[in-house]
Amino acid sequence: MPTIKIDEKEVTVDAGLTLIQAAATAGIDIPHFCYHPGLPIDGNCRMCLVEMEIRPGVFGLVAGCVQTVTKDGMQIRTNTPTVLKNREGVMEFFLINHPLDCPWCDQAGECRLQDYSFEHGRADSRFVETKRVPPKKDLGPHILLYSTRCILCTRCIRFCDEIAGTSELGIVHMGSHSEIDTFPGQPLDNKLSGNVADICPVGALVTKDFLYKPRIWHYTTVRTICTGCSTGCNTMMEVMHQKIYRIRPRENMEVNQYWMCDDGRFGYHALQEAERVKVPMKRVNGTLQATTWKEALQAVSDGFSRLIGETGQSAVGVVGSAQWTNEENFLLSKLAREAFKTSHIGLYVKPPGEGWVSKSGFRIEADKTPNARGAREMLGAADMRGIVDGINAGTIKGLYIVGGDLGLVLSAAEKEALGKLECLVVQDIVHSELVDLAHVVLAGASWAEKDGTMTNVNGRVQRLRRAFPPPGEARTDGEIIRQVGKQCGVDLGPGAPAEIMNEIARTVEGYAGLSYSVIGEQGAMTGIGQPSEAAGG
Amino acid sequence: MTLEFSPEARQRAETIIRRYPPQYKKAAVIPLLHLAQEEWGYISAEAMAYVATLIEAPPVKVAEVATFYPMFNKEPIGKYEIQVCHTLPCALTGCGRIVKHLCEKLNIQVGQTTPDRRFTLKKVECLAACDRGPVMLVNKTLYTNLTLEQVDDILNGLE
Amino acid sequence: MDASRCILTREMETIPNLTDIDIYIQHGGYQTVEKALKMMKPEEVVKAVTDSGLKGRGGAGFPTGRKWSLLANRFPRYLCCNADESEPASFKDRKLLEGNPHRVIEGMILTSYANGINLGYIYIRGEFFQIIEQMDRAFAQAYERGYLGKNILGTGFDLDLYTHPGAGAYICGEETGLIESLEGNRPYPRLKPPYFPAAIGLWQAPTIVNNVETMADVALVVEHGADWFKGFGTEDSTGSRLFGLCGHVKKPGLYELESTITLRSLIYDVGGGVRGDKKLKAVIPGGISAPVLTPDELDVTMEFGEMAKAGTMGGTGGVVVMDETVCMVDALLNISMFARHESCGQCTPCREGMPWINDMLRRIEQGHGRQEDIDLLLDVCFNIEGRTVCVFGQAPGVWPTRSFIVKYLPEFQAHIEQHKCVVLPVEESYLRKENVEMLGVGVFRAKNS
Repeated sequence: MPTIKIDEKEVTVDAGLTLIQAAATAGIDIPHFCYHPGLPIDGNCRMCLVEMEIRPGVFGLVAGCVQTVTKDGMQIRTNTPTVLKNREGVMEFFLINHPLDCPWCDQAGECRLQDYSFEHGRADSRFVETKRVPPKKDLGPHILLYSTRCILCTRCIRFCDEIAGTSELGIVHMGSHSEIDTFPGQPLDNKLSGNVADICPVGALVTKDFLYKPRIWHYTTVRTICTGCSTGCNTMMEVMHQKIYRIRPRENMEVNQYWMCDDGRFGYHALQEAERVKVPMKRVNGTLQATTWKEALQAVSDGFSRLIGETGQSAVGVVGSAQWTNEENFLLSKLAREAFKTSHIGLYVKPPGEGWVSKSGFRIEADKTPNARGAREMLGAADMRGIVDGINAGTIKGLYIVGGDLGLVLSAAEKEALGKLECLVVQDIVHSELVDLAHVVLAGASWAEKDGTMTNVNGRVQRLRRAFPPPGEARTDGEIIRQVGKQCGVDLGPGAPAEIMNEIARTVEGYAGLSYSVIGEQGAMTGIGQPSEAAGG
Repeated sequence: MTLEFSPEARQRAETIIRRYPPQYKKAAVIPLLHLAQEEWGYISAEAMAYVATLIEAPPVKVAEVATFYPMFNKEPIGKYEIQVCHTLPCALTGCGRIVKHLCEKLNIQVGQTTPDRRFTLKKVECLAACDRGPVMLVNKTLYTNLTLEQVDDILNGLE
Repeated sequence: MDASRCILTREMETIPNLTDIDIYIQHGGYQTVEKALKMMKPEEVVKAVTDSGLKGRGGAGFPTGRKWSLLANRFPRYLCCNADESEPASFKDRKLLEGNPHRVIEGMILTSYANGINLGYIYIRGEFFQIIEQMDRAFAQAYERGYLGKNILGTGFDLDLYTHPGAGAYICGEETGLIESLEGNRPYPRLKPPYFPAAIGLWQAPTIVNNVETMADVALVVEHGADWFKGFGTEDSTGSRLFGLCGHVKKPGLYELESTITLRSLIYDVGGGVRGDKKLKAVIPGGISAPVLTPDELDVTMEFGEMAKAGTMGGTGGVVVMDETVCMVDALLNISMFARHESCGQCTPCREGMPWINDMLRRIEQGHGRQEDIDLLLDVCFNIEGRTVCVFGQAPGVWPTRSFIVKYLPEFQAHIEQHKCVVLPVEESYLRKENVEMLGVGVFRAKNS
C-alpha cells in the first residue's frame, strides 16, 4: 500500500483510492458536490480540486474525485491559496444564478451550498446581471425539481442510470441552458426514486412528502432500520412531537449501501394513519370493550388457567410475529414454555409480496416482514400450521397470538380455526382481523416505538430503535409479555432488550457472540461466534 | 401519436445503423436524428421516442442529444431555413447588415418564421467559410460573399 | 510561395474533378496505399510519420507519431478523423475535404494500417452537407476499387471507414467530446486522465483522433518519405501549413505556406494588406481562441514555438485581421457570445463563467460598465482557467477575454468612463508591450499555477 502525504500528514492507503477517499482516512475533508461514493465518477463540479505534485517541486490542480493514489510519495495539498481560491470561485459560480431562497428551501440546514458557502464562499456578491430562472418541474409521483437551485452535478441521472437502472432522467438543452428533465410521458417513477432527493447535494430535488415540513434542525434523528421487508435497510428517522416526518437511508455497505426503496421510505404514513389500538380491551357480552391493564391481564390468566396443564399437555398455543424484535419473540417463547407450559409455538407468516432487484443489485425482498428469520430462530417455529391443526384437533383451546402487522390477513382456514377457540388473546397495534376475533386484546407497540434487534434475510442482526412511546395506554410488547408472565406467577427475567440479547446469545443457536456492542450501528452476522463465547453486555 | 419512417427512410436508417458495431447502436443517434429531421422537418418528442426504439436506448437519452445540438429543430420551421453566420470573421465583413436586411425583408425577427411558413431566420455560429464572409446557409446550400443585392436575388430565386 | 512547394493544395487547385476516384488514380492516387500495404510493415509507416516530425494540425500541435506510439496495446482500436472544423477563422479542413477527399481517405487508410485499426469514422460537422455527401461517394468509390473493405488489395488487411455527421456543436472538435458525440451521448469532454483516447477512447478502446489536414499530411509523408517532408517548414514545424486569412484583409483565403513566414508578411504580402488601406488595429493569429496581437507584435513567424513565445498560439492557422474601425469591446463581445453559445455546460466554471463574462461585456459595450468590471472580468477568467474538464474554458473563453482586455485596456476604460461605445484611434487603443508587462497580468498563465 502506498504511503502518501496529504497536508503534511502521512497516510498509507490502498492504491486506487481517490484523493477524496484517501484524504478522508487522514481526517481531511475535501469539499465536493458531484462525487458520491455509490455512483460513477463524473468530475463536473470542480469543487474538489486540490494540488498535487506533478513534477518534483511543481504542484498542479487535479480533481480529488478522479485522481487516484498510484504510488508511494505522492504529495497532496488541500489548503493552499490556489485550492482555496478555486473553492471560492466555484462557490461563486454556483451561486450567481442561484435564487438564494434558503428561507423556504427544504434543504436548508443540510445543504452543501450553505455549508461550503460558509466555509469557502464570499460574503459579498459581485454579480449584477440577471439571474437565469429555469422552471420548477414535477418529475414523478414523489419528486419535484426546483431547477433554479440545481447545480447540474448529475448525481440523480447517474443514480437512475446505474443504481435503479431505469434511466428516466437526463440533461436537456446545452450550456447554461442545461436542465435536468424526464422524457414526456415517462416520469421519474421507479422503486428507488426517493433516493435522488437524498443524494441531491442542494435543494433542487425534493420529495413531495417532505415539502414545506418544519425545518430540519427541529427534528430528533433516530438511527434505526426499515421494517418494510426482510432486507432491513439501515435508516435515519426524523421525528418531532411523537410524529415521523422523514425516513432516509443510512449507509451500510453490507445491506443497503446508501439507498432504500420508496415503499420503505414513505411506508411510515400507513403507521401514522392506521387506527391504533390504544387501550387494552376484553370481550363483554360479545363486544370488545376498553378496560384497564389490570383487568386485561387478569382476563388472560383467567382465560388460560383452566387450559394450562402439565408440560406436554397444555392446551394453550402461542403464535409469534415477524414484526416483532428478536428480544420480544424470545420472551414470548419463554412465556410459552415457562408460564403456559406449552410447546405449541407457531409463527404467523404473511403471504409474500413482490420482490425486485435493481440494476446495481439492490434488493427489495418478497417477504414483507422485517424479522421472519429472527422470529423463526427465537421461536423455533416456521409457521402456524401446527397451531391450526392443533385447534382443529382440539388439543389447543386457548391461543396467545401477536400481530404487529398493519397488513395482516388471515386465510379462511386460519380464521375458521381461531373462531373455535375458547380463549383468544391478541396482542396487536391496529384493529386487525385478529382483534375482531379476540376475547382479550393487549395494546402493543409499533416498530417506531420500541428497541430491539431484527435479523434480516441474510442473517444480519441489526438494531431497531425507539423514536417515541406507544400511543395512549399501549405498552411495549416485551413489557406486556413480562406482565403476563408475572400474572401467571413466572418471572421472565430482565426486561431491557440489551440484557435479553445477552440471554439470546447464550441460548439461541447462531447468536453466540452477539451483543449490542458487537451489533453496533452496522449490525452483525449470526453464526459468527462459538456457543461457548457467551457474550457480555 | 406514434411516428414511423417511410420505407425509404427506414432503409436508410438500417444502412446507417449497420455502420456501427451492433452492440453500439446508440452511436447512430445523430445521423438518425438528421434523417428524422429530413423526414418530418423537426424533431418532436414522438420522433425522439421513435429514434430511441431504433437504437434501443431510453428515450430521455435521445432527448439529451437532440436538445443539445443547435442543428436539430425542436419545433416546425419554414420551408426555407436561412442561417446567417454571425461569428467574428463574418461580423467584421458585415453580417449585421445582412441580418438586418433579412429581418426587414421577411418582416420577422431572428428566430422567427414568416406567417406563410416559407422562411425561418436564424443566426448561427461559424460555418467555416470565414474567407468568404458574410455567409449564410439556405437549407443545405451555402451562399458566400453576400451583398444585400445578392440576398434579394437569392430570396427571389426561391419558389 | 512557389507552387511546387504547395504539397497539400497544388493538385486540388490544378486538377479538375480530383474528387472523382478515377481522376485521382490517374494522377497517382492510392499508389501510396498500395505501396504501404504491400511493401511496408505497419511499424515502418509509424516510423516514417514519427521521423517526419509531423505535428497534429487540429490546433494543439501534438506530434502525430508520438500520439500513435501512446496507443494502449490492446484491440480493437479505432480511428476518428476530426473534421468537426468549428474554430472560428478556420476553414482549411473544409477546403481539403471539398477539394481532395481521396487524399484524406488515403491518410486514414495508412493510419489505420500503421496502427492495427479495422474500423474508423470521419466526424464531419453537420453543416457541411455537400462535403458529407461527397465523402460518402468517395468512400463508396474506394470500396468499389478495393481500397476499403475486406482483404484490401489481397493483403489480408480489413478496413471499414464511414462518415459520421455532427450537428452544430463546437465542443465536438475536442477529441473526447467527439468520441462521446460519436458514441451517441452528449458530447461532454472526458476527464483526462484517465480518458486519453489512446488509452481509453471510442467504446473504451484505444483510439486515434487526428485532424483532416494531419491525415492528408500522413499520406504525403508515406508517399514521399520523412526526409522529403522535413524539407518543408522548419525543424520545429515540419511540412507546409495552411493559413486562413479573413477579416479586414484585401485578399482573404487559404494559403499553403511554410511557417517561417512572419505574421506581417502574411497579412501585407500574401493578403495584400488591410482592406481599404486602413490602419491595422488587431490580429488574432490562430483561430479566435488564440490571444490577440497588437500592431506592435506582427514581426513574429507563424511557427508554433515562435507564436508561443509571443504569448499567443499557432492554433489552427486561422488569421483574423481587424482594422481601425473595429471596437475591441464589440469584437470581444462577439467572441464571448460564441463561447457562451458553445460551452457544453458540463462543468461549473465554464458553464457559469462564459455567460457571466458575456453579460458583463455587453453591459460595458452598451455603456453600463463599472470601474470594477475590468478586475472582475479578469478574476472570473482566473477562476475558469485550468479549472475546467477540457481546454474549452481557456479557448475560446479565457484567452481572448484576457488578451483583449489587458492589451486594449484604454478602449475598455473609455467605454466605462464615457458610458458609450468608443472606438479609439489605433495608437491610443492599446497598451505597449512594456505597459502590459507592468500590469503583471500574464496573458497566458503557466498551466496549473
